[in-house]
Amino acid sequence: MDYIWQTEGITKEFNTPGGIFSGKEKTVYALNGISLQQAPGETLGIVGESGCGKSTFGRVLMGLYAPTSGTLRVGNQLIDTETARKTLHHTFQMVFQDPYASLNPRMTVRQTLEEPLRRMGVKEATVRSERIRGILEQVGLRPSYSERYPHEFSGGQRQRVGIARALISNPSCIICDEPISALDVSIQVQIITLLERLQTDTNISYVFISHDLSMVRYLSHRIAVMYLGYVVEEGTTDELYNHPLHPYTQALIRLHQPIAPRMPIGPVPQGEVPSPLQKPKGCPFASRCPEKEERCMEAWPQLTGNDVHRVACWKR
Amino acid sequence: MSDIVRVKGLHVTFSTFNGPVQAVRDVSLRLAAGEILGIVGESGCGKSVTVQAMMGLWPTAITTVEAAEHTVLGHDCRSFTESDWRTLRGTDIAMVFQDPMTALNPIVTIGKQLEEVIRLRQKRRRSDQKGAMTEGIAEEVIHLLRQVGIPEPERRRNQYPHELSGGMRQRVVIAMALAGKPKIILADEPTTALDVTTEAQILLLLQKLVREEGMGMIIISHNLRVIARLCDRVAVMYAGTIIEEGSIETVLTSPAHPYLQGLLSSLPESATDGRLTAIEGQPPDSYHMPTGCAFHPRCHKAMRICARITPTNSNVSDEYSKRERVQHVREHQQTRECPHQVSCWLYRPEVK
Repeated sequence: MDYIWQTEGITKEFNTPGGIFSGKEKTVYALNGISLQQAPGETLGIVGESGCGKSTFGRVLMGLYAPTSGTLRVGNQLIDTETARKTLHHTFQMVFQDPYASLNPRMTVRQTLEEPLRRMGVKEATVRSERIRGILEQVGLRPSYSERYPHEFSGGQRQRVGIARALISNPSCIICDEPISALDVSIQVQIITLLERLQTDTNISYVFISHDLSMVRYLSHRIAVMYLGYVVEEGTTDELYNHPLHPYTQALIRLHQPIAPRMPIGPVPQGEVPSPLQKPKGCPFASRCPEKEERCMEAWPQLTGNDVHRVACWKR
Repeated sequence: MSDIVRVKGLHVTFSTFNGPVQAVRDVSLRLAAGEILGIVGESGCGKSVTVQAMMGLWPTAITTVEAAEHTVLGHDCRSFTESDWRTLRGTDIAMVFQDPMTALNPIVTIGKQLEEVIRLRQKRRRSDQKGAMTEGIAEEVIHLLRQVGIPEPERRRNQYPHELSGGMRQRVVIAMALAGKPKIILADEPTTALDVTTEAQILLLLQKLVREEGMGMIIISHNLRVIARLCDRVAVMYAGTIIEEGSIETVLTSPAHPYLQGLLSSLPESATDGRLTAIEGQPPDSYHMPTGCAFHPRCHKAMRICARITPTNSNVSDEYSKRERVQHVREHQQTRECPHQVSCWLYRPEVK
């Protein structure tokens, strides 16, 4: 099968600067070998708690961060230079969490949407305005809104503008980094149904990054579960949800059961996510895992399995 | 069993540069000891304002708080001055806020912050607890930290808030709330800033503490999952009013108000036929409230009367609430009425 993109063992380390107050220079291990790929027209959901590296991975795809090691391929092309990374915006576009912070407050919607078109070399003003008109209708905004500024919109409408900006340069994949977390419940669903409709209409792919497993499950064809910079489990949505193998995935699913009165909270993983300042020797989840054994502390289990379901756990 | 909080007909109005804003309109609430009441609603629906007004937290200069009845722990609070409030807040009534970093003092160790509350409590209750001064404060700090599940309390109490993780900080905030030995805990989005696994840990802790100590708790959340896990009763707010109220069982299994029905069917896990249904439109702007029912512009069941007259609370149906009452009594061994109430013209016999 042809993939839109494919990563092989992507790692990303950040160096925190040393100083009088912060002490010695430290290294944050944000991504520890991510190997994923995506087929056209598919939605890949990436779930995990804060600090697990899901946004960092999205930014590596977008070319905003250069990976420390590992390879990213888009189509058949290997992206290994800064010049190659600068072309990634033809394939990827991004929708951010905060629709207010991610739009320029001094630019009207038309100006915001025109800029990518100009960069793409669309010279005729009439063509541009026709395209803007079309895209606004596609995301459910009135074309007459194009002369408005971001502050004149509600949160949900702003996020629609953000989606329009991502769509206008015809990318094959949109990276949605927590696109609905800042919105109210009733508005969240409006945005989700919009993303769904756009996918049916244009066969676009999404990388949907979120901490909300139930939304990810609803929208995604495949899900990757991340923990402390590792992918601990990956597979098709049905397989992963119905037969979760990793203890962490199992806990996440248990905490996202359908809402029922007085539902028991059930067993919760004790403790907290360890610091990403130290690469764990063994399995990253071992410190909180109810089923841990000697070998879990010794070596990191590889992500193994078939195309439908892969898991990184010694006991599976 | 008697109510420890009773509020009837609460109105909160802010005066702003653009004119008055009615943030809370005609809200009535009650809370019994040992009970967990949830208030759920979207941002800006007035849930926090309601609870803050119940604690007298709004400055009178810009805010008008009116209520037909406002009783907290037997005190009539309508004529309370700021110093009257201060005798209740922090000890008898405690609050747990959303962001633990801003709720804690960053330059004081958590042990010192806990001690402060314990001292305050001892000072206020000196008359009934003679001789309890200064002794055992250090032991109590350690006991509190242990009670909220903080490992190595002897070491942790000398740490500053920035040295703790988000979940640990929220545990400290809860410990501070407990330090006053409160009868009422008001938790405003206590887990919104936390990750799901940490959230579950904190919810378990709150539930255990409330049940053990027999306190009453009001928990505010926009997250129905949190409310469903924790609460006995729930009040659903929309645009400054309570639109539906009842036991958690009835409200979640047979929601009456079209807004709540829409909200529940827009949860991804309830998309049984594979499609989500969204509530169209957005919550009203507080400066331009629609006439009649505030939800009618978004309601697909709206009738002509909905746009004209605001509906008042009514029981969903008599037969219904009777059955529910029996069930509630059986479960809780107490004779409290818990009618399922809704503010919607659809449930009024005169409209039918």
